[in-house]
Amino acid sequence: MRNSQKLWLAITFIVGVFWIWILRSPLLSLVGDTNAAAQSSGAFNVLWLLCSLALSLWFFRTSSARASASVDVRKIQPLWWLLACLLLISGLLLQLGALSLFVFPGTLLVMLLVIFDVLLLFWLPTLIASPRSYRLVVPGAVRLLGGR
Amino acid sequence: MQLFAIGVGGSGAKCIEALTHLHACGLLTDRAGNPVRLGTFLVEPDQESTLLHRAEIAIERYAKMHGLLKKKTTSFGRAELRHYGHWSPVSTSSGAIRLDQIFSKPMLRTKASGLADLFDCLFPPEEQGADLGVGFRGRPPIGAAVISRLNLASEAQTGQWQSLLGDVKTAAGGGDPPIIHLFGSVFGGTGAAGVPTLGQMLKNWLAEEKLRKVRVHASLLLPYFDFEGQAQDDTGVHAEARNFQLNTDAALQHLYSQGQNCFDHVYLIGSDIKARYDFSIGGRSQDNSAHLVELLASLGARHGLSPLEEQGYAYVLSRAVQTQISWSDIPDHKVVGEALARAARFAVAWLNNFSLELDEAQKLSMPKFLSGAPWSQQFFHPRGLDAEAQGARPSIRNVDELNIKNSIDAYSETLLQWLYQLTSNTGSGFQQELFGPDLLCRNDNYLDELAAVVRGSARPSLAEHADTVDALKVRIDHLSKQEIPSKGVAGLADVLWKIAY
Repeated sequence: MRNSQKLWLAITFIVGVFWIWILRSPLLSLVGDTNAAAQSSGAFNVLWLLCSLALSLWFFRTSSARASASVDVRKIQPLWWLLACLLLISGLLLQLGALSLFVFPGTLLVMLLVIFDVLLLFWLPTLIASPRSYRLVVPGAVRLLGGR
Repeated sequence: MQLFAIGVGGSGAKCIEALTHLHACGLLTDRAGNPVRLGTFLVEPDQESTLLHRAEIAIERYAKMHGLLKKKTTSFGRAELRHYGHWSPVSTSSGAIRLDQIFSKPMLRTKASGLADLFDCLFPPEEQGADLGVGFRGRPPIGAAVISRLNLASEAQTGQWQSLLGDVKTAAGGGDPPIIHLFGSVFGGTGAAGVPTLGQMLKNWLAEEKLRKVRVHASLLLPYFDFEGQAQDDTGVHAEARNFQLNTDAALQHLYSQGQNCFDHVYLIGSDIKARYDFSIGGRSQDNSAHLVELLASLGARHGLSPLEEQGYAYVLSRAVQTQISWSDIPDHKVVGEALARAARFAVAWLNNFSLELDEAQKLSMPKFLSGAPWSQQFFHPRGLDAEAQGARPSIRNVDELNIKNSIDAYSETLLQWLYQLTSNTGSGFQQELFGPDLLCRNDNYLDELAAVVRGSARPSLAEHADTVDALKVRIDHLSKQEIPSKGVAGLADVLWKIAY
């Protein structure tokens, strides 16, 4: 991994932590009662943990895999989509489970926040810090990073 | 500076093949380190010779690649090469291809009394009637008689020697005087007859033209192969391995007494451990693999380019271990080893990976290809558009770019074939520790590991697990714009050439 990638990875991690532990809870409290917001936050924390695990798995696979051809590199794309889908589904299910006992007016916002979390905590770090030949394998990477 | 290389006979053609590859590796340089201009010319009575065609294929493929690269590269394929074609000493206006047709006895009788009898005395009837279309059949006296009819002074005005001799004259008027280097065996027919004869003729012609600064060198091959199998009863006059030593003795005696009149410097290279080739009288069946001795002979031409401070005349080589050749046995092995290792690694990585990648890119959209090949955006437009501005990235599907790719493919394949033959044709009980022959071939499976391409001291000092094509691709992807002087296939090949070692 290049130094610039390490730097960007650290920045996204800090932004993620800032978002999860500082910004998100007050935002949830604004749209619902405190108990529901606390339940939702707990589910988001589990999602954060899952994203961290998925990220670790992704970086382990891309760092250790040997790709002799571009076709081998592209073969890892289904893994990325699988991880992203699992994170989204598990994030949505966790929120539905956490808020099932409450009447929570901000359900739509919570669902959008799940998508935002997966983008911030999984897509963005994999986009900017996938190592070596896997630099552009993440969806959107060619458009955002490939034309330099 | 210019080097004019003349290959005489089958072994001479093989040396020219080796010299072409050395030139492609950038090993033929002047004192300032700039590549010399190499001119090649082949002398071969056997127009069907596989060895002649193989040498010409190597020359043509390199020349085509060099022409298409059009100076877009800074180090790869930069050396200039001009091929002057080939000349057959037995091609006459009358179409005569037998000795008794070339030297017609009635004609000899009109010239001087007794000349026809002398002819009969020197050449037995089977030699007089032998078809020389397949060469001089291992009989140097036949070749010497035929080749000595050549008149270089008149050939310089017209004929196939005209361009070559004209360029020698032109080059002699410039800065560094050119060098003419002859290659040929002294144990067969054509080379043994042609090299000393042509050497002497060239020296005489240079003296007549007052071009005394032009040096004439020669790499003379001593016996280094034997024949496997024997001739048929109806083969007629033919080269026999048992005559090789006799021919060599005669050639060396001639060289001892007359050598200074033929050559300024001589490189004598042979091998006590013989390669085995199938018996062939000549023509297409004579498909002898390349041999290390030919590489060493062509390195004589490289040595001849350096200022010759010592007063030596004949240069010889030896090896450290009886049953093996390694890089330390190669003259100037650090430079030569690095250049050959670079070329081998480049050709393997190009042909068995990068070229396949470019083929794959033709089937996919550029963004999809780019997602697995980030290195490609350094050289090709990321959206597959054709460059409008000069120096901009072209489309990966641009026809001109594909032509360059095909020419690099063709030359790389030729180079790998030569290296493979060189390393797998060492003779019984003799090993080479230069290259790994198993990897020196075209392979449609993507190759990644490069560690085993080169052996011994010329292998790059990289950990084996890090010596991969994938690592090269990552390195290319990380290069800054300043480190990539040109775009397209030429730019890719140039960068790969630089980082291959």
